[in-house]
Amino acid sequence: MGQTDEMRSQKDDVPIRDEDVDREFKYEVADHFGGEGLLRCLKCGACSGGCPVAAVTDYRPRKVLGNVLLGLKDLVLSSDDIWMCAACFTCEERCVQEVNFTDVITILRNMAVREGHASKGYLDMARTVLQHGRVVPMTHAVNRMRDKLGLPELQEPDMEELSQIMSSAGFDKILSIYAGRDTTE
Amino acid sequence: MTEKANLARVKAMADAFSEERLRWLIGKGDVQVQRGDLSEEKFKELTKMAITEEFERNYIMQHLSKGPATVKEIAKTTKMEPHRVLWNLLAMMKWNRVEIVGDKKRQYIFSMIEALDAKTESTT
Amino acid sequence: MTVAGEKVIFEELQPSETAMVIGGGVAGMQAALDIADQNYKVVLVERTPSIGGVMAMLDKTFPTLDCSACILTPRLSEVARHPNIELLTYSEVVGLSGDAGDFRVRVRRKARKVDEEKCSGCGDCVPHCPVQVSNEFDQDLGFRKAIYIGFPQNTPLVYTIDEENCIKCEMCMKSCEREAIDLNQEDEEIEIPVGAIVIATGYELYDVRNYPRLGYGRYKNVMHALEYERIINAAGPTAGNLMRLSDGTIPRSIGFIQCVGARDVSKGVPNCSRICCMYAIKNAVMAKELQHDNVKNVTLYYADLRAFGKGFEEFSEMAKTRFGVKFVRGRVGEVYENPKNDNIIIRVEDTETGKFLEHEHELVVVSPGIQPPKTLKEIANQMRLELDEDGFLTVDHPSITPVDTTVPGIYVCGCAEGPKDIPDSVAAGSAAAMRASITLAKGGGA
Repeated sequence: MGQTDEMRSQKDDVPIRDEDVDREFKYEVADHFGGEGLLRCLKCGACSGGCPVAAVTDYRPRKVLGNVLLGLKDLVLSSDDIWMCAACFTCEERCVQEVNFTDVITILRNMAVREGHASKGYLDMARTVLQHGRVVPMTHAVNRMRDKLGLPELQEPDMEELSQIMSSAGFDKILSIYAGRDTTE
Repeated sequence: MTEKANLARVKAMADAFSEERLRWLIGKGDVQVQRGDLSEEKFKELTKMAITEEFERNYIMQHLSKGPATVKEIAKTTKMEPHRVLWNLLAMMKWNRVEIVGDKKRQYIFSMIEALDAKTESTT
Repeated sequence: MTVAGEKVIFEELQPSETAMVIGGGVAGMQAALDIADQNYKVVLVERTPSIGGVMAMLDKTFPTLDCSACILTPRLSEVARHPNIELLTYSEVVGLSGDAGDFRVRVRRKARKVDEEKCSGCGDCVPHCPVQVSNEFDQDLGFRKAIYIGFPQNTPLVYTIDEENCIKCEMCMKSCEREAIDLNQEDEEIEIPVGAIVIATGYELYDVRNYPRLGYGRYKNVMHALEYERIINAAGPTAGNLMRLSDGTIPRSIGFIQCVGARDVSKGVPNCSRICCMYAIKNAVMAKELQHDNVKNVTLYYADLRAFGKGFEEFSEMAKTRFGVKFVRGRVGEVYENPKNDNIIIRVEDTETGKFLEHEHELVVVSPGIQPPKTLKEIANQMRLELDEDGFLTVDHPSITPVDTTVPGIYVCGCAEGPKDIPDSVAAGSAAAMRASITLAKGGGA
């Protein structure tokens, strides 16, 4: 996923059509654990005011929540916006209605992945975990640095145990949605 | 230059001590500490605060006696922080020793109030 | 003190013709005057050394931009010289027994160390007091001595000695020609029989230090609304000259932050404080009025603009069109200081355009919500009164009996019941006075 701080295409300038609105979407999200606060949102913007990502891009937590409340399921789940959150929790600190926005974003990300809208960066990370058991692969440079600092060597993860855990959780089944897609950059 | 500034500060301190507030505080306060009416540390704290305030105010007054000035100008010559200069000026306004006479370039101009002062009469 | 100067023996008052009003703000004074004008006796108990309440600290009221002291001070003197009103200032209620028609209220008269009957308020003692402290009436921005009056129209015009700071040097005693100072004066507790009670204890501002992200207490150029009122007031610490406190300059741009300590579930204050939108618009207009050449930009950052009352919407439109006040819809996320010039930078999302704003202002005024005073809980305990979730007094039925508390014979008016502006407080004062008079007339029956 690229770093972006230029204005992206204003998809939301397009008038909202009745067909685009899924009236049950917000209740669907709120039904997940951690999502109940979503229905309390007043769109006051206190979250965006403290968001470090909002300060340098055109991502706005308030806008994402607003679109969920409006029922724009496809727009929300297929957009880049839900992947911009840095999970710093400042919005949760600031929110006057106790909406717990970071939890809502997590739910939206999981929903998006199940619908085939996983962001490329996360997919790459997921595949790395499946193959090597690590989010970031080990490199010689890292090992040399650890050696110099006197840290013990990184251990190889037990891939068999790990893949058993992941498949019983359904991880590979979710990833199979993306099986045919091109992952090269 | 610094010697001149130091002399000015010494004069300000001397002026501070010639005023009623410090003389009474130190004189009477000592008696009360001995009598047990006032705790030693409270007395020290009060005296320190009073000496600092009176010194700063007299130092500022020296500057003002040369003519009206703004907070910025006073802070520059006295090398005090602007908010501290302002705080002292506001106190002096309350006790009727200075007043605001106008403003230029968003800075208020403070001026000494020429009052019939018992102090000026008793210097002889 | 009554005009006639006869000493009142409180214990001998008749409950069937005496009411007590607790709190000497504008609502309490209205209640006291209305009861006293019907020839009942009123004992007005006020915790601070003077009646007047928060209204005495304000500069201008909304939406008329009346000078607050000009409309309040006639009331102060009316109460002071009314033959049927006994003023007990610097006094607190410490206990209650009895029922409607026959209450016994225990009042502690705190020792001001000054004889109320001898002090003429001349102020000769002040220059001699060596202890200087900050003045609470001026929101700690101004100064007073250990012997003081809070403001020039202190009613009664009697000085008070602040026991905590007085060092008993007796300099004041030496300078008082009327020998009005008595440093050995002690607190006195008296029991007053009354038939009905009106509670008018008013409000306090929410402590905005609970929002460290808004910089109050950390940055010199962030102040709250009542400090701002004192600064623009001609009797205030800067003699009415609008300035910022880091360096005394006139700010070119001022930011007002709304909904602080109100409408915030996470801080335990979910209620709306009703008056903050309007008083902030009034403050914004005053900045332009006082310094229209120097103050170029006044911006108000709001969540919603609640301009619900008579004349309020027109006032807020006038602020936009005639005075050029800018309005940004967005709850401010945080502020930080520009170390080069002590300016304050506000970070907020303009929710109408989606733009992320970083606006630099030379002065920022935070508009706090209002809370019941900390002493209300104790009074409610003593009188078996109910408090609601926000800490204000509960009434018997909010629609049918909006000034009756849950205890017969005890009534409530003003902000003690909930946030409200001056006209509503005065109306409630008169209403509570009427209810109390009925109790007195019926000897306690409802």
